[in-house]
Amino acid sequence: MEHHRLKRRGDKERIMAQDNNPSADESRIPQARRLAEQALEAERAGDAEAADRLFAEAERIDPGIVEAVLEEDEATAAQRPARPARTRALGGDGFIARNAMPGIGLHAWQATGTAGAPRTPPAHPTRFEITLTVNGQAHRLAVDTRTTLLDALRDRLNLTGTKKGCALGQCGSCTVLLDGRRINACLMLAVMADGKAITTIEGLARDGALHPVQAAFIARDAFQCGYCTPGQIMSAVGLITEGRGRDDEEIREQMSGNLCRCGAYVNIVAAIRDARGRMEG
Amino acid sequence: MLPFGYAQAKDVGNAIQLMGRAPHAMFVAGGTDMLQLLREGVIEPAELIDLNALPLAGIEADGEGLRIGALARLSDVADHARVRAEFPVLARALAETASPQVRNMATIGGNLLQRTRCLYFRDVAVPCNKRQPGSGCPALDGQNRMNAILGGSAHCIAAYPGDMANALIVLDAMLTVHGPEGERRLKVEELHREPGDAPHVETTMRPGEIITAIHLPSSAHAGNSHYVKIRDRASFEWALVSAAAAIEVADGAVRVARVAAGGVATKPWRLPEVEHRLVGRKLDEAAALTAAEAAAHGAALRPGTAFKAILLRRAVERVLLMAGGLA
Amino acid sequence: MSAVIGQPVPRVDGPAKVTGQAQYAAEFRPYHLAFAAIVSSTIPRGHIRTVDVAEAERAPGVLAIITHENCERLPYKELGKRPQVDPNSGEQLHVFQSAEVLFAGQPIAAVVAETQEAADGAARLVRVAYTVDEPTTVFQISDGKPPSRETAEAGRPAESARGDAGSALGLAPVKVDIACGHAREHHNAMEPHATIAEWDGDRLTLYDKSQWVSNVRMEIAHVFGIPEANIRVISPFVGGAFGSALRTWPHVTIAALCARRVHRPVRVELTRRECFTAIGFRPLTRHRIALGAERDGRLQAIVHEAYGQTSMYEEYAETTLEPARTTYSCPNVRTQYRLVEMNTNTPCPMRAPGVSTGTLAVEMAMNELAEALGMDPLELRLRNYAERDESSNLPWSSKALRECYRVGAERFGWSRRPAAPRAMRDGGCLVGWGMASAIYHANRSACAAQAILYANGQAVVRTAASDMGPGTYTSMTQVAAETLGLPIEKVDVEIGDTAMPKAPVHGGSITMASVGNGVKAACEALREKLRALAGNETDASPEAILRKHELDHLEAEAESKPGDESEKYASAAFGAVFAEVRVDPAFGTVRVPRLVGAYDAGRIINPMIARSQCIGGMVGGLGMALLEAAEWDERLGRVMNANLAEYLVPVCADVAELDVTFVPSEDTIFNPLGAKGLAEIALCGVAPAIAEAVWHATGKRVRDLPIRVEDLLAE
Repeated sequence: MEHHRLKRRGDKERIMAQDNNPSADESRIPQARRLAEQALEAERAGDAEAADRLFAEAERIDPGIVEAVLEEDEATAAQRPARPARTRALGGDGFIARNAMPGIGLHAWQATGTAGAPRTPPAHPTRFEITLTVNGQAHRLAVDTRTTLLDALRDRLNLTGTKKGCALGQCGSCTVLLDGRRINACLMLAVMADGKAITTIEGLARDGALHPVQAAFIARDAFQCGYCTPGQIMSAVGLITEGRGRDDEEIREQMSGNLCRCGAYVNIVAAIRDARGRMEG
Repeated sequence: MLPFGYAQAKDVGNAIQLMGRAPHAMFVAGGTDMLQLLREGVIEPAELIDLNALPLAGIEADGEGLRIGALARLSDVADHARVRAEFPVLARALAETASPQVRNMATIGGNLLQRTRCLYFRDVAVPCNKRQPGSGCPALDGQNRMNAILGGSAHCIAAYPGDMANALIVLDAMLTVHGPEGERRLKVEELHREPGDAPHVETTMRPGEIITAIHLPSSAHAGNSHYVKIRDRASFEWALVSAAAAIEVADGAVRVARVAAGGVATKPWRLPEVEHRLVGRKLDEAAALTAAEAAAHGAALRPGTAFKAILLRRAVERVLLMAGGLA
Repeated sequence: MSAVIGQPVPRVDGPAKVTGQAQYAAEFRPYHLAFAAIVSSTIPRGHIRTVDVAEAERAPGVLAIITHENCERLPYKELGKRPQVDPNSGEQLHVFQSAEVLFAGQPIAAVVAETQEAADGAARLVRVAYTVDEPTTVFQISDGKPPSRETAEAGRPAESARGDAGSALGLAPVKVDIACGHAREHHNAMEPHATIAEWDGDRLTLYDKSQWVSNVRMEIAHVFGIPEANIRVISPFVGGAFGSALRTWPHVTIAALCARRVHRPVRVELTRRECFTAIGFRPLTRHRIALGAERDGRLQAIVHEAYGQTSMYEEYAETTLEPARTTYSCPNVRTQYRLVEMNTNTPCPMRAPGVSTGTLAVEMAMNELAEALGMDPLELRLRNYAERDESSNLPWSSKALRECYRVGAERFGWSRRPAAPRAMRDGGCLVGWGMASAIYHANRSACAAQAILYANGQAVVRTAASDMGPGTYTSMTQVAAETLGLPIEKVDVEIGDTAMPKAPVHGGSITMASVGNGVKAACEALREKLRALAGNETDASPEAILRKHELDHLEAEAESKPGDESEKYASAAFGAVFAEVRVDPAFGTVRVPRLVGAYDAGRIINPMIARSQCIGGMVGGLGMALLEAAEWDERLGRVMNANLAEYLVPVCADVAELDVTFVPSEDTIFNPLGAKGLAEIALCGVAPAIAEAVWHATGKRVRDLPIRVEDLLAE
């Protein structure tokens, strides 16, 4: 281990000379420290290769960080408890191919945590006053830049008919119409929806009468738990408005952005077929 | 998500200026991939510069071809009459991309720059050379079914996940990009990089540059172009393997061939050897098979990805048969 | 009698659901609500060395950060009798009570803030350092251990035998002996799990996603050492669950802890990624199954060995071997069950737990036996028809499986099936047909209900049951309306609140037979009271009777519970499933153009919503057969595809024609209402039928699910 450390320190000049990475900067210093700590963990775990790689990367971002971390480590070495011995390599039964990156390296990286790096405050504002016109009604509200349109609807405007299923655009539960087109409300920042007109499930029924798609969903029993249903209905309204879904196969393809874990798909297709007939008839 | 600043750019010049002033900023357009990356902590920019107000959504005639503004939404491009008629591979690739909702949001400029779906890249609790340079690549011997067999390195085998870029390559599409040093043009094929020893550097875009337009030159092969996408689900899934082809046949023989593959490589992947085997030959079943045999040359196979070599050859064969009117 | 039972009544909660008015757990809004985010462990095993919250605490809007270092000590009192939804041995995860890490994704801290954004952001700034210990993250059947005594006593024994299967197998002229299994699956109900906790002094209200509010109350009372009477759990709508909301998971405790810390109501809503680790899953299961038969197809021996996955801290076990013991007539049956402990979260029941898994093995083996015998798979099943439950040696309280086979085969056109594989084509695609039987034990528990009639003629029925989607609201409205002799518009059903009479767990297909009879009993009691009041005026309307006696309402409560019928009879729902697949021979892609199912589920209360439940089960089975698999990293002990883009569940385009028939059936031995159960039977049998169809199309036996492209690509 000592030899390894001397080698690392000896490499410093060469590494600094090579450092021409345009992204090396102050904001990444915490990341460099974390890398160096991870390298140390890898070194303790006996994975010199991983340690080398991590040390080098840390040094590239913040020349000097490795030395500092090594010094701190040496100062506290006496206080560290003995570590449990490892007797068996990770993996099993030989059906994993030879491991280019030993499992111990993976865990060493994880052992120092994977939190986000704290940074200098942003240059631009992080809060905005916006106007969302939802179902014809204008709402003025202050939002964090991180607030998605979905969270603004649910948590701020209490319009919880728009559902959160994954918050990653992968399930369609949050489908709303934005300026008439169906979108995933979870994939849009509220601040980017400023001034837009949004239609949610709450805005579909008129004067107490269900929209034909809503009525068809009930008549065809096109749902069970009901959680994906507002998204399915908004997607179906968008589909019909876009003039798509001329046959069942196209409806199925066009509704595939809306997962239904209760598996009501055949009834959903039937409901859309019925509703389109009524809306066009 | 960590807090980030936000500014809306008024025009291209303003966008470049805003980016220049805030070194840890990123551009956002459709946001369909960016919001996922932000929510999962994969990227933590200090600022977002919103490009949506830029007047770049138009689709218009451009000399002998079509110019598509970078902010055009995937659904608008897929539905455009000239795209459907003259560049069918693009319409098809877009129609099979993501979901209708995502297609209504995502821009074609942003779609070109979407990040890999490598499971390790998207999970911040594990190392990834692309996300954190030098931390390692667990995908090499991990769950890598959706990863690349072509263009990988010892540091990264993350697949480029998109469909549209493969179509653009066989259409000889060009990009216009604007940056601090002005405007330049490059081929779509030149946009992406192989990971090599710097997997975090994914494109040849220079700092502060914005894609502003895509140019589709009209051609006989563009008009006879096709897309095949193979996936587990019948819809709403990234490609296990995809293949794009544009073929011009004149006097009974292939005059021009462009073939590219998706889902199998670290960048949109042109298949020059397949093209070479086609040119000058009659496009029949035997020619398609012979050409497709070359599709996976040079592939680095792993236990989880070995099947993709077979699948790639068959996808290429199928797309060539479609181009030849034989399937 | 208004005869509303058996009618296709549209869902009574339909208007609320299609207008977005139905309120799910995360959507309640107590005054001054704060929001929490969970920090999860990254490593699969070890100890937390340090937790650095300094940076996170400085983030704007943060109210509190709870870690094992500053968390109050919770009593976690021992449960007198464990609820059937909890494992029988081991100890549930004690939230934030120690530095020990038992699996990757374990909740290890919580951040409470003024907004969800602030909480999520600050959670990214909590820095945790670990000491890593060597984990067990590879599923190896050689590590399998027999279940504990407690688990064995709960009907999941290490070994069981009737006759001498070993000798009979050796002597049998025709044998199959295969290994098969399925991947770890996740429920992925569309609604993420969520809890809002609100304290008022020492009284706690929980708005929770739950299939069993009474049990949440009981378990949280034990965790916090407070009387059950101090806790109210409210859960009117459940956005799907499929078993994932049976137990009381750590996040419920976390919500209550956070709310107590900040003296405000707090919401905990799991992210989709957390839904892979903070709740349960269907465990990966491997099987060895051997069948021995005479040349005429009569089974002589069944040997079924199963290996299930469980965690390091709880012994979760399933009834995987029940199908081998009960589905077919066979004199010699031996089963063996082993559990493989791993550094993972504890599995839990997922739709048809154990039985769907075991059915997969039995039905796959039966189909292979049919091939070995040169016999039609349906004929093989008829030759081994179990006229009684041979495992308990009791007669069935009802069984119309023969009719299921007949009706299903006829609707599917099974008689036109060529025996040989690769014999049917359509265009460039290979076409294949397969079938399987389905069986799921019918159970029933005690249930209490309250029925109230108001002077305006409106009736309200209340019971602490749940509706995660099968239509409890609607079917109970029908039972109440018919029993009270009222039109359905005059009946309101209220469920999902511990303030209501106690109901059993909403799972295991027992709701109709349990809650249905509870509601029936309460309504009968109310009708008796009304009749007593009416005296000779038998023609008087209920409103008139109440008016005459100057009552603004009349109420009755009753409980219905099973008698000794389960000692005299075995009860089960049955089904026959037929599948058609199309396989692109070049790409190995499998599509399912149609599924046909015929079911004996007892009396059908509402054929429209019952059909919905069955098509849902078919879609679930399709996912099991072709799509669903957790991509587990064996080095990291981590599900890598913990999202809905890469954990594949069927989409609309995957599903074409689904045909459902209920054969005439009414089991009044099992319970007065005559219903058996539907939720689980609808999933069983689908996956093996599809697997058989894939063989019939391609000639290739794929025994490990899901069947994917790479399994069918021959060079």
